[in-house]
Amino acid sequence: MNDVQTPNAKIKPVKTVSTIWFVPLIAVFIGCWMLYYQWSNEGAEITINFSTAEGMEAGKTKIKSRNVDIGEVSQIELNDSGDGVIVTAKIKKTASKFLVSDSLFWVVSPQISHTGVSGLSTLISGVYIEISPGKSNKESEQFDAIDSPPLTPAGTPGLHITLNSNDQFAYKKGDPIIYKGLTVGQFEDIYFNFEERVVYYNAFIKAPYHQLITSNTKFWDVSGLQFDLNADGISVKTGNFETMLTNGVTFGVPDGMDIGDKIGERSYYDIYESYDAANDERYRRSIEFVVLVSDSIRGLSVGAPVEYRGVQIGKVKSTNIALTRNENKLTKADFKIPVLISLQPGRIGLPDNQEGENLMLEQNVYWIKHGLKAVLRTGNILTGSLYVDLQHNKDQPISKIEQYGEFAIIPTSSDDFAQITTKAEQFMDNLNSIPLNDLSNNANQLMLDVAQTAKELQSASQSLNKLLSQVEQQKISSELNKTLQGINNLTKDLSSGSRGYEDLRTTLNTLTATMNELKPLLNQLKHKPNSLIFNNGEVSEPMPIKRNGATQ
Amino acid sequence: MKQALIVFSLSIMLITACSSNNTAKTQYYLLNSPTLNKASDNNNNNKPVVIINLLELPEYLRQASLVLQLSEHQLHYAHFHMWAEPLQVSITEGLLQDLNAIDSHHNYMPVLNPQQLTSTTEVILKINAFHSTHQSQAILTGRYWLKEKNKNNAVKVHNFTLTADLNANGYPHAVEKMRAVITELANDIRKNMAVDTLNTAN
Repeated sequence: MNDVQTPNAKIKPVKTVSTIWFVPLIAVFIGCWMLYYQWSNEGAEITINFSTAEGMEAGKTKIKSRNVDIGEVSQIELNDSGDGVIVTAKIKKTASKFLVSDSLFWVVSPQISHTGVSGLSTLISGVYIEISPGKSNKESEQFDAIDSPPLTPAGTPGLHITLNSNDQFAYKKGDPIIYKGLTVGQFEDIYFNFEERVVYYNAFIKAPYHQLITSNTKFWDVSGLQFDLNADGISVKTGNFETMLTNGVTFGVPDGMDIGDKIGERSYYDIYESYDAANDERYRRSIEFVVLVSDSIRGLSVGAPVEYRGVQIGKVKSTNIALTRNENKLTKADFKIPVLISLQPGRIGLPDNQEGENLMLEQNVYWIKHGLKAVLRTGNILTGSLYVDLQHNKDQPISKIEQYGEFAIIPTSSDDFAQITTKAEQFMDNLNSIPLNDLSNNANQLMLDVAQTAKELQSASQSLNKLLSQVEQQKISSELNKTLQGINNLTKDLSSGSRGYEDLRTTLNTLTATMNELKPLLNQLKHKPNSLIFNNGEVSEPMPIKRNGATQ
Repeated sequence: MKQALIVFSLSIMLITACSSNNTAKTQYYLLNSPTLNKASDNNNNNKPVVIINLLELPEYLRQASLVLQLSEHQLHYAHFHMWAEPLQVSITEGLLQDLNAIDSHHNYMPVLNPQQLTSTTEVILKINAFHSTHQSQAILTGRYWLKEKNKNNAVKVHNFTLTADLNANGYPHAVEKMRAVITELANDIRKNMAVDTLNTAN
């Protein structure tokens, strides 16, 4: 072993870097990666302008879309002018695609209104900011919040229309638009045009009901309960339950009209007072005449029907045309009230155009010349409402048609106008001439007679009562006798020594004997209930024993 | 074969287990034996009529079981030994039999009798006890009143306690002895009747 020469070690300087240096290197790498991760996932920072920051807290208030958290408020501060607040919020990167220019932001807080109750959960969790993502392609980082949730979320299928009314109806945001009782849309926005003095409403009709809106569609008011008192009587109308409490409009195509053509976005429609008003609007063409009334026009309202033999052919357009007197002098004769009526060719089957209009005018002029007269008649006795009736009076043809301003005059039948008053006067006269005193005397006499008769009737009924009670008593006493006889017979049957009694006794004795028979058994059973089945031979019971030492 | 034998013997055992060999039967007793009846024809209408009026029996005798006194204050109602007829009837009957047999001077009748109105004397009997006792005796205690109509309804009271020793075990013998004490009572009544009659004669 010692012969083997040990080789000499060859020493080389170490050139490699120590592995310990990998540790800080890895740490630096992880740090960089974390920074990058944080930066790449940070998401977008947006600013939203609110009028107030009520209920919001930095670092706490969430931003949600359909109840999913997509961000958080990081800072709240007043704007430069001090009339609002700027809320800075961080949105998760995954949700940053919703941050487009037409996205809407609003604060969700508890709300109670006629349209319902919403946001109750925020009573406990605190308010949050809801986002309704828009459809625009343009990204944005600055938004103006809206005060209340949009009634119709962006992108909802349906149709926007503009309604207008210059009447006394007022609608609020959220008021319903109903169709055959269904709520198919709602009012979204209100705009008052100062120049036209007309209120415009932006309304939205949900799909698929927007297909119902055509060029011939008419809108009318169905707010609350509508009581209508007119020449035809009383009518009560309402929409659905919601519109009984709030305002609302409904729509439809009047009977007999074409459905009409399809319409585009933001079409204009008038809101009429009622279906009838809307229905009347179907006739666009009309010819106008004046009727000079020498009697009271109280009860004759604008819109009152003009009838020809019971068929409505037009309506009263104005009851007292504004007059301009050229001469400042006294009128000698009495003054006749001019009533403007319009006759609509569409109502009598003529075409609703210029041709129909001409035809109707010619026809009426012909008739007026041959004695057509206008008469005011009472349509409804309760309300006293009047209508205009056109009737032929062939005895009084006229040669020339008079004019009132630009309108032709339909002559009135004076007798007929006075008719109402005359009849009323006659009625009053008749009423006066009734011999009321005689009548009342007669009535008194009659009452006395009646009283006398009643007295007699009373005495008669008393004697009848007496008679009946006598009969009743006799009957009762005979029945009582019979019953007593029966009881007697029965007691005889059961008296001592009788057969019935003996039978009873025998039965009772038998029963007693049976009971005596059963007594030991019952005693035994009482003592030992199972002894009937399990008899262990214990039958011993005390018995008399003989005296000690005694022998028998 | 062996197995069949075991099954057979087992079923026999099971069947016999259900049987009982010792069944007690209810026994019925008559106080007055019809076979010992001394048919005496005492229907002599000439003899003075004495009415025997047995007052209501004590509660414990108004039922069918024979009664055995077990100690001073304890009674036992026999389970299987019963009277065939109510004691109220049989005591009266026995007494009448005995009295009519031994007294030839009077005609003894029960109460509620057609001849009641013609009676001269009425014996009103009240029985307090009538049973066999733990002292091996048949006992009859009570009192009776002799009511003589001839003497303005004068009443004499007589108490009695009559016993007879039992010479054999069992209820049949006890009943026999109980019948015997009734006869003793009859003798007692006859004796006192005789004394009264004698006094009346004097």
